[in-house]
Amino acid sequence: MVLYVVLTVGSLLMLSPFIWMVLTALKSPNEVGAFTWLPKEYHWENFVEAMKTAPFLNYFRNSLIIAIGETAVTLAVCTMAGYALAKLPLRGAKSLLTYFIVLLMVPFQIILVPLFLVVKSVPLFGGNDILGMGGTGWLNSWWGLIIPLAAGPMYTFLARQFYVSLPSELADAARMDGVGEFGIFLKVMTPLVKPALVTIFVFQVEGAWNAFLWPLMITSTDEIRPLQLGLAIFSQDQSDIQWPYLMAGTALAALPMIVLFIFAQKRFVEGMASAGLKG
Amino acid sequence: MKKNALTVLAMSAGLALTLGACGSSSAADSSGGDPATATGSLRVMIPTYPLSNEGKAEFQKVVDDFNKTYPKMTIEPDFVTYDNMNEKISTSIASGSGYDVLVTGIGWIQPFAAKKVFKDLAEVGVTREDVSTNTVEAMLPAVTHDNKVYGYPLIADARAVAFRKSAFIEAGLDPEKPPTTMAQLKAAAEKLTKRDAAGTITRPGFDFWAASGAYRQVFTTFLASTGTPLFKDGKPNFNNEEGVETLEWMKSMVNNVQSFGQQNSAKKPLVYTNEAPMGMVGGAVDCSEKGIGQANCDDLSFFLLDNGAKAEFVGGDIASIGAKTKNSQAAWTFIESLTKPEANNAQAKLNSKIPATKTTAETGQAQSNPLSKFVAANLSHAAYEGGATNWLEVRKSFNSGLDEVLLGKRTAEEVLSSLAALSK
Repeated sequence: MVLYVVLTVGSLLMLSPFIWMVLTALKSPNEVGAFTWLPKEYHWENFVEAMKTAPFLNYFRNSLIIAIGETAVTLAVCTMAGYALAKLPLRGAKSLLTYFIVLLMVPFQIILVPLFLVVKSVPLFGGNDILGMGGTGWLNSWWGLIIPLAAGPMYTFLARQFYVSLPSELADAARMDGVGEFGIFLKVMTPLVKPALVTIFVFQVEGAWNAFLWPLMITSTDEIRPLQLGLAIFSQDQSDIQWPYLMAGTALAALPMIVLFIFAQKRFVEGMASAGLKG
Repeated sequence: MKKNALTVLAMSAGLALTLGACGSSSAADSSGGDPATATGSLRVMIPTYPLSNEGKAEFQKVVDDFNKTYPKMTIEPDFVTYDNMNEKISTSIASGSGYDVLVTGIGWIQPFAAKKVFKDLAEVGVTREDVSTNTVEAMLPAVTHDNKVYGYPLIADARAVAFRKSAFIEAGLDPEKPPTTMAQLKAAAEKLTKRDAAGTITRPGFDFWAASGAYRQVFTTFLASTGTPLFKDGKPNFNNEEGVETLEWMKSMVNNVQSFGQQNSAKKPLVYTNEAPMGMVGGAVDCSEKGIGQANCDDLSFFLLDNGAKAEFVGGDIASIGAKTKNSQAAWTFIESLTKPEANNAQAKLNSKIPATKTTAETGQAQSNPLSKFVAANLSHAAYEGGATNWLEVRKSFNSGLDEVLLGKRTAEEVLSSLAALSK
């Protein structure tokens, strides 16, 4: 009984920011200053007006493209890297693993400027010559938005943790049956780490969906800018933030992530538990 | 908070590295010939226009105006926010693809002018007299460095002090004679402060409109009202008797007439919502039913502090030309388009500010509400923050240092001296 009470209270505490967000989205601008849970009148039109303020349909589409692109690259590259680190007889595998763990500790802000320079200097893109000079490289492009933030070290580490827990005898048996190394990875081992794939999928989609700083740095046109940059419109004037619209937009932006988590939660929790990670 | 600090640290390092690579030489101007045949594009970084449909439509009008002179040139706008402006500038410089026109804020001019990121506007024929004659004269020091003009004011973000006439009458104060000195303000605020039986403040007598870590601009305003600007000729001017007295006075107000860092959840001035009878406000108030309503507006009156000099805190958007632009003349023409009355008024409206022009008091935005009318009429008393070439770094220390004094952890003398030592 006590457990249920504690868990219920915990759940309500976790839910309260979301409830507050939705309720604020329904208030009039004058109501947001004073503390009240429920609006005097429900301004459902705030959702429509917020979406009319800017081309939010474009922003949603752009965020979706970025999230799918980044996640596809991550799932392909990180699972292979994780498998190699866990199961293949690589010379220096331990050092490589240490390198990935060290990378986990490097804040993104530290690599922002160097990464920007790398992206700008990608050869033969955006008017660049073979030496990466003369043009804009991947700036203002889907490539620049998707590739640099895909295949993060955390996902390689996560995948490695799952593969390392699988018995190597499975791979040995497949080798005896004449299955190639890539076949073992793809058909034998990877189907056994579905929770890991779901965990990586959820983390990466969520990260890509919420990205703000990197898209802001490398884009200057809202043709390819994602949703989070669109939401910044409502807080442009720091002394006059349009809270109801901001909360309405944020609530709509959070909706796909909530739905995603609802569908993936079983595997996601399994994945978190197996890898020994905390959310 | 940690993430913010990390961002600042990283970007400061990035700026230091990349700005070091900035040369002083100006590239040859390729737009100086016949504007009708000039080609190419201008990269414009601008926080003035929000990326909303309305903001983009207004910006397009400016582009159309520019294209009347330079029909074959294109504009590449980069709409940014003040929060991420420094990251944008540093990465653009690092990549060698700097902007041709940069719109920044007051406080940005001296640091970037000293690092030769901005061009001396004399190169496009703009003089100090031009700024004095056509814009707000009091903003001239904010756009100059070493006596050279590096920025041209677009819009001003002014602050005033507001009070509720009804609250004054209720407390036995004369609404026709609002306080002007710090001593009078404190006396009135103490009278207006309401407390419960336990002595806890239930209604602050004066609203600083400042969260914790954000008392810097209020300090600048009160200090300026003693006739003491924050910096004088680029040198610290706050570690003196006036600075210490001002900060000590603020300390005597905090937790006496208002709890430290108190704000409402919308972070808007408490006077608007009648949560406080007197306090700092911005430069525009919406008196319509969508805003605070006409009845609330009618109850408001405004004044400036005057402890020897009237002071109205002013921030704002300033247009500069990138030092490495190859299109100086076109860049200046674009700034001229930005400063046309219609464009200026639209910018002010979009940002709840007022046009920074000589005739600001007559503009539609200034006339649209009583607060804008008041601050526009008093722009000659503009007080601004900044002046040091490392202001963008020092201002962070200012925030934490002032908090320490207000909370009684360090003395005003000690903090102001250490801040002066940090300022270059």
